[in-house]
Amino acid sequence: MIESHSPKDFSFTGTATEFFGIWIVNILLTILTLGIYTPWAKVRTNRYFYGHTHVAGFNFDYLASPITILKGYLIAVALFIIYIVVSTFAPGSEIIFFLLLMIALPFIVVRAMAFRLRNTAYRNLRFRFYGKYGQAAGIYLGLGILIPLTLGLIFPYFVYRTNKFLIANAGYGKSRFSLQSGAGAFYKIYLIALGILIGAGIVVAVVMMPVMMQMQAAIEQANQSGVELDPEAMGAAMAGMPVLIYFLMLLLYFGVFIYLRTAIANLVWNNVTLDGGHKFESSLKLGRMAWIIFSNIIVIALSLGLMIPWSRVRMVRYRMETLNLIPGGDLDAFIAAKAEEESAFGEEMGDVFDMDIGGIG
Amino acid sequence: MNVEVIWHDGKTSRAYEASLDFSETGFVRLTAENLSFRYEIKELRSTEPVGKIKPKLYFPDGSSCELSDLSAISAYLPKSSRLFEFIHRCESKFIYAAGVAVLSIGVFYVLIFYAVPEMARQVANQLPPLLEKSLGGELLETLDRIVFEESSLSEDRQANLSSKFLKTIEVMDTTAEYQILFRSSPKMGANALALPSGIIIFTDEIVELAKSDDALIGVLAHEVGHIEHHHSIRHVLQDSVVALLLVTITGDISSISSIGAALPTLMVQLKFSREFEAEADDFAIRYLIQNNISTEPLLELLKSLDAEYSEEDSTVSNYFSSHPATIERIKKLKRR
Repeated sequence: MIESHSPKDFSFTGTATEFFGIWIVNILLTILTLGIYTPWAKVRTNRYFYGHTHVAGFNFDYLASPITILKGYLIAVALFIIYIVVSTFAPGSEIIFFLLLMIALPFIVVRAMAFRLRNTAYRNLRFRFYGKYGQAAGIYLGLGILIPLTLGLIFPYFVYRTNKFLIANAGYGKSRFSLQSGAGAFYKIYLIALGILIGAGIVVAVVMMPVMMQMQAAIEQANQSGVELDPEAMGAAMAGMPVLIYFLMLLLYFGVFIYLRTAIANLVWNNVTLDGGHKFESSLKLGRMAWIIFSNIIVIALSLGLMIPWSRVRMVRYRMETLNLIPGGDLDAFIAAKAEEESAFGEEMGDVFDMDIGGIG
Repeated sequence: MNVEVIWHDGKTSRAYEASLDFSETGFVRLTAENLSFRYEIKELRSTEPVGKIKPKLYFPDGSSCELSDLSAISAYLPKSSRLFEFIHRCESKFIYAAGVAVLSIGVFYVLIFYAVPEMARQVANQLPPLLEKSLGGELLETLDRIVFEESSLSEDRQANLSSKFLKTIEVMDTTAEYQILFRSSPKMGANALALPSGIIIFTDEIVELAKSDDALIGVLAHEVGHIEHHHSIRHVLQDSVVALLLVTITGDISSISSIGAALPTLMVQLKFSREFEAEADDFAIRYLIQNNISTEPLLELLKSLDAEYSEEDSTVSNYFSSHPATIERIKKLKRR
């Protein structure tokens, strides 16, 4: 069969109304079953999002069994209850739990990735994860400890190594993914973020200082000419300044955060290769991302959460619209790897202990 | 009966145009190019339907096919779970989904405003006093470190007020063991706090602001109300359950957009806080009335505490306030 190697668009065909039904039924059943339905809710949600994600004519499948997830979930909940009980009656034991969790963290990352990828299929071939505990420990614990010691200077390198670890150990069938980018590109992104922060700080200082000084001068002038100033209005003006600055700073941090996410997602996807030849192209725009995230937050707050399905579909649709696959060869030529079972334990540990372990999605 | 499908053999990523033939009872024959397989129908597995995603049929050898519509051949397939068919109908039919939405909102409303507060009340009443004691001690330690400084009230004044307060509490129908403390707190200003297990803290600022000791007795009664009703524990319990419900709704905690759901949660938690304050006010008023103490001094103190106090009732800001509007509290005090 002859296949053209033109770019293939990723697309998401789900709709907000369609997902709303799944989401609301999941919530009701989760509440009514006191949480036992959670694994089924998770599988149905993932099957929905994977199933509506298409590239080169075929969609993705999420194959995990809810029962497997439930087992991992119950173990994680049991561990969590042990943690709560022991730390309540033996104050100070939190530090031991913290250390245990640190030691377990690489294990959780590896198992969660393995479970998630193994249960992801495309054209009836599964993805795989080959990462080992030792490698993960070296990066998440070894490099992780160095971050504060180097005053954060190696943080971009840490982000680079975690991405490299997650991608270079991922496979589709027998084929392997790899990350072509080096650490330098990550440093560049973080330097730009730092530059934005410093630049904005200077702008705030330059704009705000004269305003403050003028206010001060006006007050002094008023005092000298004996004009009575309304103390309440003065107080409000004075109190308003820090609030305004605080709000601007918050907006700035938020913007920088979105910049980092957008730039890193683009960098990573644009440097992923599969089997050496197949490439990806991600063209997320900072303005669009910021607008989508910002308006999503407002709409969710105003709708008391009822628009969450709409916001999630909207985000995924944009991410898929901006992602392309550039085939470097025949897309029909991938071969299956040997199967191996993975338990869901790692993945659920991550959920219950509330950690974002990230992924290449 | 023949159906055209797209078939994946599970060994390569290649797609085959194939056809399923159901003419033999109990078996299906799959033909793809020059390949042909015969499967027992009871060994087939179809995925449960989710939304409008294309159904897939899995064969025992690991191959699978995708169909545009399962309904044409569903008569030949093993029966899928009735329960999940019903769930799928609820998800995908507008009127069902709308019904589920209304039901969910009702369940959430009852849970948040009736069931959770009632359960928290029951649990708080059953908790061993020892737990409250260690919690109170820990809290005091933290507060001493971050917001409190040593009181600058004279020792005589402290002892005087303490004994007066403890005598007041003796007359009340109380269960906890009480301890009165004085602290200076420029960060907090005029305030009084009740910690679980019976620790009541007055800041120097509120002692100085009060025009008479009777006003402070009113404040004391309010704080005793907090302790007798186990408000601290109930607050923690209720807030945790609501946070847990929030996770159910947002599902994906790591997504930034979930911040949006924090606002409704905050409003619910503030409503809990206002209800506790109102309950403590009721406790104080009951005490003052029963002992023929005027509510006027407490009323005056409340007015001077609320710097922005106005006779106008602002409904919007009420939703974002941890205490009931001062006007409401004063109206209640005046009614008696």
